[in-house]
Amino acid sequence: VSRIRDNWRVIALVFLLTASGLALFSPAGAIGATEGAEGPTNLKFGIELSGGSRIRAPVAGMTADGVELTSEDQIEQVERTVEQELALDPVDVRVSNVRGGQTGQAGQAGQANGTVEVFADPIAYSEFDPDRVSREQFQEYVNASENVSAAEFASALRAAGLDLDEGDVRRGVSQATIESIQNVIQNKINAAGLSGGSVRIAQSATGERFIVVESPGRSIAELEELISRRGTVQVLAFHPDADGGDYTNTTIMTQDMSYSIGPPNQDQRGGEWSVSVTFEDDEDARRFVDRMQAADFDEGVDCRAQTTQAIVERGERCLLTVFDDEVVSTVGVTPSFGRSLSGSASGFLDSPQFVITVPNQSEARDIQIALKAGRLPASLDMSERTSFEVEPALAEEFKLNSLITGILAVLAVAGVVYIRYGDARIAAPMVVTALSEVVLLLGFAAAIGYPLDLSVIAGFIAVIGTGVDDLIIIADEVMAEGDVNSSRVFQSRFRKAFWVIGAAAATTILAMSPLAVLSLGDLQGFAIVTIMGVLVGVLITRPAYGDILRRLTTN
Amino acid sequence: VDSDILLNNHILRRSGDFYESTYRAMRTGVTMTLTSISAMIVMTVVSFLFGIGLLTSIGLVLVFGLTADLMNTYMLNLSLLRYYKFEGVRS
Repeated sequence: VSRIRDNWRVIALVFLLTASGLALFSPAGAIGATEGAEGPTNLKFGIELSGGSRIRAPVAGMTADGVELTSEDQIEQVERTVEQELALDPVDVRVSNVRGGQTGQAGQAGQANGTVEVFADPIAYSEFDPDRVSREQFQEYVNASENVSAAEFASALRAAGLDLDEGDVRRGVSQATIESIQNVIQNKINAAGLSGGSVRIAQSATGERFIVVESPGRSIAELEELISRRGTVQVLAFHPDADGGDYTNTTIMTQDMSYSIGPPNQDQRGGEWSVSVTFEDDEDARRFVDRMQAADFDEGVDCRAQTTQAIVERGERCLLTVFDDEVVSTVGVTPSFGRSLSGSASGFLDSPQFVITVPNQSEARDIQIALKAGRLPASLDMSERTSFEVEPALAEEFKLNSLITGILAVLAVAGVVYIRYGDARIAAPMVVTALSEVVLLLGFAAAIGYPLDLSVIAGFIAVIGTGVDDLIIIADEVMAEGDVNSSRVFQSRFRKAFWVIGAAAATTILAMSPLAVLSLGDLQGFAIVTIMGVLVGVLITRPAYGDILRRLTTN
Repeated sequence: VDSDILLNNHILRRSGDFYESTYRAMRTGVTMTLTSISAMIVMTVVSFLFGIGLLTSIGLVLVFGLTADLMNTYMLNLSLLRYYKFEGVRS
């Protein structure tokens, strides 16, 4: 019994090693880590080690904080004025006010909690007709619009009766907006079936916030295509106005309605693709019918024209599907569908479903994703993105080579320690103990499903480094003054050694904790692993090494 | 920091001759740093041969960092400690 009590630290270490081994290798060992695990272990790997891509980009937009908004009317008036002054779409201006933790309500006089945001689209050359606008002209246009925008925004705010100047305008968007962007991108990733993809918000030291999107096993191009589109889908009725004169647009359906989406479907005859939309909310279905009736589409209309220009020339009326400011299809309404919309429209309201027609499959898929995930409140500024990509095959090779490198480094440590002490009885347990620290950490990572990345590997290197250092301190201290012959002498020397180790460990933990708390991306993994490793070392492995050493030196 | 704390601890908290304490602390401290340096040299060389750029960079930086630490501890810190021990405190 006393032997067990004396060696309880070693027993604890063996127990934890077994637990880590289970977490690493047994199929049921990991809690919630089965998804995304690969290879013979339960370890999850980040994109740097398993291949994949990552994009980090800021959100395009400008914000004025601390605006005093005292009534609902004023909120609306500011929204409309800014919209008109800057010639923006309604979706690109957002005025909000926080009162008592709730957004959207008017504040009281003297409280400046309001926020005005504009989400100006970053302009891409591809949106212009290259025959009409040259690249130089485009560049001039972009420069001009960038130079004035902060000032323009401020003057628009002044026009809305707010006492603000250029200094009150900052780049970036509000917390609420960036969080909803995070949600929408996560929805998009799920809808597109990119398994294991993740979205998070990172903050730089200067306070600028970024959206970071990661997707294992996918190329950067796939990811870019998914997130660079704003994903605005609208169905508009394009028809002559009530007097039969000019053509106008009437919005029939937007993503703010509540609906469910069917899979992309190919038409048997025409080869056209379509996505079915079923309204989930009776009110939205009613609104759809009302708008169709108001635009006189409830008797069925013929539409053969392909462009808005052709529609006007031929005097037709059409439904337009607009995807990110681009008309993707122009369709009419069949007489039978029109009949179900007319009168009390009981036919449509019983099964409130219609189809959005699209010419090809990829467009149908994009529209399906956009309808499912919703639109991004603001687009990402892809011109300021940083991206990172590792090919899966390369990552596989990389993993194996890293392992070999690690083993060789450990052998080097073992060699030096053996040369120094000339005694395998001291050197061998030292190497085994240091390695067991790594096994414990790996087991921990597998158990909680923490993905291994290069920063985590760097953390392992740091842990082994300090681990072996500390074991050398213990060994030297214990054997400093001649042979140890009683357990009491051993105990007091071991305690002395532990004072040094404890002080060094406390220093490391203090130095690393800011890094672990701040979301600095790569450094966070490094800091967490180092702190964990130091704790495991000080609490478990190093005391256990002391026990082993005592057993070997005292008889 | 390890080797600095070790050195301070040995010289300031233990009884015994200054140079004797220093010798004992150096024996341990230099072993620690040399172990790490040799591990990092191996890692740098092997990862360079395998073409893993990142591990090569980590290894290279650590080799130089540890070498600088070796000099920093036993030249700067030791000198300061000796000054403190023999001249700085006169009371």
